[in-house]
Amino acid sequence: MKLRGFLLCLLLPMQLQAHDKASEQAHYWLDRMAKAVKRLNYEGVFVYLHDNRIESMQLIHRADREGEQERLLSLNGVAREIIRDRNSLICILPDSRSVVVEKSRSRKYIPSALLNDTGRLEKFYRFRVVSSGRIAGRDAQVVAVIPKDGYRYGYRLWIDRKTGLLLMSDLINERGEVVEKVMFTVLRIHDKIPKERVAQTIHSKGYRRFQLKAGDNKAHSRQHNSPWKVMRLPRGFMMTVHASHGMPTSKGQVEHLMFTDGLASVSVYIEKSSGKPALRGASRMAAVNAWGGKVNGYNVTVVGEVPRATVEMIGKSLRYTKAR
Amino acid sequence: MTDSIKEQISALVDGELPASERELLLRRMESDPALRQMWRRYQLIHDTLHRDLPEQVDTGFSERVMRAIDNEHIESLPLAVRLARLARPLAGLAVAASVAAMVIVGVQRIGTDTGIDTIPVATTASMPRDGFRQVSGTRWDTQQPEVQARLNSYLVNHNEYSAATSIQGILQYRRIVGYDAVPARK
Repeated sequence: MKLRGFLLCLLLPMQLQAHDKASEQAHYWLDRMAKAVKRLNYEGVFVYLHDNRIESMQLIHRADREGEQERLLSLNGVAREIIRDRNSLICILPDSRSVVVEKSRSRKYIPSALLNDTGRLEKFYRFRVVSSGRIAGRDAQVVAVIPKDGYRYGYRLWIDRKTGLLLMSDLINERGEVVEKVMFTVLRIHDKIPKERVAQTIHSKGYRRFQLKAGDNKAHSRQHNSPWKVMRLPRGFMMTVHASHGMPTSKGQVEHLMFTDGLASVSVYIEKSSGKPALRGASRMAAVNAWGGKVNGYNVTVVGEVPRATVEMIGKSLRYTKAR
Repeated sequence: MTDSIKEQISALVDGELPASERELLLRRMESDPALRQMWRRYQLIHDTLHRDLPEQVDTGFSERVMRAIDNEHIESLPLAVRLARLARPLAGLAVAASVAAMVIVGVQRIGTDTGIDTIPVATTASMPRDGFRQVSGTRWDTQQPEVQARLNSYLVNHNEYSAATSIQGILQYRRIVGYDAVPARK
């Protein structure tokens, strides 16, 4: 008995250590990836597999002292394009002859403490370095992010050993099925990329432009005077945004609440009902789920890259309380 | 071989053969290798011509096909299963699986040896590890364009606010850039 106890004492810390090490390695790769994606100059072509279709897109990313600039262009069908820099996000949609301009709001809305708190994330996900592979002719380290419940998705990420860039990713739903796959077929890393390469390539003359006036872009905090309250949240989700702001396709102000567990995030949008058609019940686009309902004369829409159960739980628990 | 039987096989491949004629033709095919050969050829042509993918696919199909391969009582089996059985002399299970894979095109299913051990894996026993499965729906599965536009606008906004947590950066926008690239239908 004594010996067994002794062995157990010996084994237990070793197991814990092994567990921590596996997780630590995964965090090292994820951290490297997060930095590489932002800091490097690269261009590539990737395929996007979802539902029963396959699409191909070109991505160019440039980083300099002025920040990041990137361009995403669909290579099949309608040539849609997205151009993003630190000021704006421009979507050019030739099929609807429209240009939608949003304010670029990169990385300001989530407290960095939440992002860097890996211990907190460990409560909701397990992180593992799984194996190695080869994608787009490059050696990859495979990292798995495994959710501990059905309210968030899992990911399998193939990360370039040399640069840390993401080469392939699987998005795994709550039933363990891969529902989206992104895979680079060509990826080139450069020291520099000329500015022209991230400029708009498809013409948009005469297209309808949806853009807010500078002032309407501003988000006003609603934390202290809002009548809206979410009564139920999946474990670990915290509110990081509660504001009202204009949106290119909405007339009035839209109240916006965002919740995140540090990895997955969900937004709630609340608009006064105008009688126009609005989402009722659940809707889905690839791995993104949405849920819509009407509460107290307002259209409520919940959107996020999370399972349906998550948007439903949040949407159905939204209450209109007397404004404080 | 008569022209009428060729027409019948062609109709069978197109799913247009009346049920009353189907039974007799299947019985003849089961005993006649030349007819089976012809059916396979027609099937191949049909598949090549109709590269566009079906909207709705029965995901239990491949499993039933596989189960049926070893079933002796073929008379009672559904049409698809009996057709799959006719393909058996080619390569048995593998053919059945590929017959299924031809129609079940979708997203790869995760395997068991990936280390992602807590995620339930329920692949059928004889399904290849990277077998394809269909997931229904494309774009927002709502029919109203106005609702779709509003949802896209929300999604773009949400992507911007959540950029810091996303592990995919601008790749998030792949859904906006490619979301309704509907294949041309004949």
